[in-house]
Amino acid sequence: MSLLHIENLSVEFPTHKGYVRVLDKVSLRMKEAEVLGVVGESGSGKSMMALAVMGLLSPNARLTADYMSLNNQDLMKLSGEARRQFVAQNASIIFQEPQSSLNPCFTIGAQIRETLKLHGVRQRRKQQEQAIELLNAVGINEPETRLRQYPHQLSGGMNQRVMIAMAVAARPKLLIADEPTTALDVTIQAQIIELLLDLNRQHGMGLMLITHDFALLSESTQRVCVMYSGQIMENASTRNILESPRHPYSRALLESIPHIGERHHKGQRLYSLKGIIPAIDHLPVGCRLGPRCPRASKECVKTPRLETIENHGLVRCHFPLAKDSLAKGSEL
Amino acid sequence: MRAPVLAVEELTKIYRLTDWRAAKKEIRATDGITFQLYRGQTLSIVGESGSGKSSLAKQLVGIEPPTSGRILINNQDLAKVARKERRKAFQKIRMVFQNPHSSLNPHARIGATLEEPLKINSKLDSKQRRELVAEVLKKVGLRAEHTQRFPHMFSGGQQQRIAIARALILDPEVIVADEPLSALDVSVQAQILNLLMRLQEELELSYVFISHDLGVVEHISDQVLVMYRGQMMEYGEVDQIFDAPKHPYTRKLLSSTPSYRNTVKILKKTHTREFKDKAAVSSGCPFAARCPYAKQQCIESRPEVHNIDGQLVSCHWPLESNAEG
Repeated sequence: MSLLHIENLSVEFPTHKGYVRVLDKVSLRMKEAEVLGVVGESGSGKSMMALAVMGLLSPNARLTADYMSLNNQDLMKLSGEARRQFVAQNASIIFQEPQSSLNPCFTIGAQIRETLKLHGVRQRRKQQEQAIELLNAVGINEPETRLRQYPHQLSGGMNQRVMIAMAVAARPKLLIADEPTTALDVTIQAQIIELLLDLNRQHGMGLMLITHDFALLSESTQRVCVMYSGQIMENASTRNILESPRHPYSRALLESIPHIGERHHKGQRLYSLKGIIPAIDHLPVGCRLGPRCPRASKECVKTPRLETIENHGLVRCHFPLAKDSLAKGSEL
Repeated sequence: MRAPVLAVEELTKIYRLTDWRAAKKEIRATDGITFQLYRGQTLSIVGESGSGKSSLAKQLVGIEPPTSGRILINNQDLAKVARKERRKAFQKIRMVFQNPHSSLNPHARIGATLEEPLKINSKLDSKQRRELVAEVLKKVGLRAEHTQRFPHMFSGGQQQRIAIARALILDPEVIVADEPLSALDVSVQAQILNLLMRLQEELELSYVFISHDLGVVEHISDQVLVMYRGQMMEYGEVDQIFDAPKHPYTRKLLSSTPSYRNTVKILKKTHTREFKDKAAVSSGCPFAARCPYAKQQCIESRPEVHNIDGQLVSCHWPLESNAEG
């Protein structure tokens, strides 16, 4: 039984050169109450995947999948309206910038009440009670006052808490958090992640944490999915990926970010991949990392498949790294 | 020790807001900041948003005049420089902004953007200017033929290289970089950071590096200055700050930063309540409202700066090096 099950999900957008595939055959499974991390740079398709699951893609997008289910309900078999309602009840999403997700013209209270109304709470008094309850649950003090305030009167961290309150109003089975802390200060970031994990533990709510920050995932997730250019490059347990990444891209991501607690001698260079992430309408032949990969060889013009590596997970590479290559510090 | 390239003394900037309800408000964006930066070294300024980091940067490069305090470059007070000499003095300190996309003129070719400081500040003829532009482009890893292109034809990382080239072209001694990496992709950040370090070695540059990313700060800095609400909380060598933070705020910052190979266990529930930050703490320690160790004295009087082995801490009760957070 799985909470989320996707097989070969692709998303394409029309351009003047024809359809461009921004998400290429992504397959993914989440167990109930699992915390899954999705990492990748901008343009890697991680947000596209989230939007596709939520059914929030723009109408001109073309979505194809072999199978897609949420909470054991096959989404492909539902009609548009039924699908929308089902997803609304079972999954929610929060975005990067709470300030731009909330409507500046309405009070916090009005916006929470609207959500509750959509989920079938009709009486105004009940709505108010539940709104206060929700704000309490996400750790906002003086909820009665806050309900009368507008988004600009609250801090970024508070607004993100309000977003979370609205997202969990219907007790969803799955919460997708798309870079929930990127716009926030570090001290606030820790609080928000802690809140999300609390909700996960208390209500058994599955959590998909989308980010570009590996460090953030290390403490909170069980499994990590590394994406690049619209494909999944590596999918394995958090421990395995952090201790011994097998895909060159995962390792490059890990090594290119300096982390606190690591000692450096002055002037030590960071590892960096050469070049930049390719434009999605101008992908290299074969492996999409190919031109940037230090391990690339002739074989890499053939597209690698996502294959299982024993005792590790799934890796899309012709020449995966050896186990513990990171710990040994061997050359990429 | 040698004289510092850049010395800042008691730098204070007060913005006066006139509220329509007639109440006049003062905001102290920077409040008595003092530091020294030596040749070839990097000083990082860290703090949350609103702590006055960017305001400090603007004062350093002369975009905003400070309300009081002094900025000295090679012992020359920037405020006292005669008007005619002003341009010359500010050639020594240049800035790289956060977002290259908005700090480069979209209508101007790269060549024109890079030549402009030379037109204003030097007497070079156009051929010499072009040569210098080509040279500086090479230094930052671009090619001379790029001068004919417009900013939108470059990626974010390349744009940031151009912004760095623009800062370098007048041969400065100090570069003020205000969050130069935060608009870039992760894998490109490392490239720019490596470039900054290489340039520092080649040209003996000094950096004032403003960032909220403590991992990067630890990697690149010699000294670190921690700010909170315009005031200096702690200032010391990078090892002192990261190994033995003495100020509760520094410790809070460090413990909230996730790191996957960190020895400090993060995301501990120490202080998850958000305090009413706006509770006016005018007389006492600015951090008192959020500090887990705050006592009555912290609210009443502003702490003095303690000097502990060269590490400056502005706290009534600086933490012991091995005290448990």
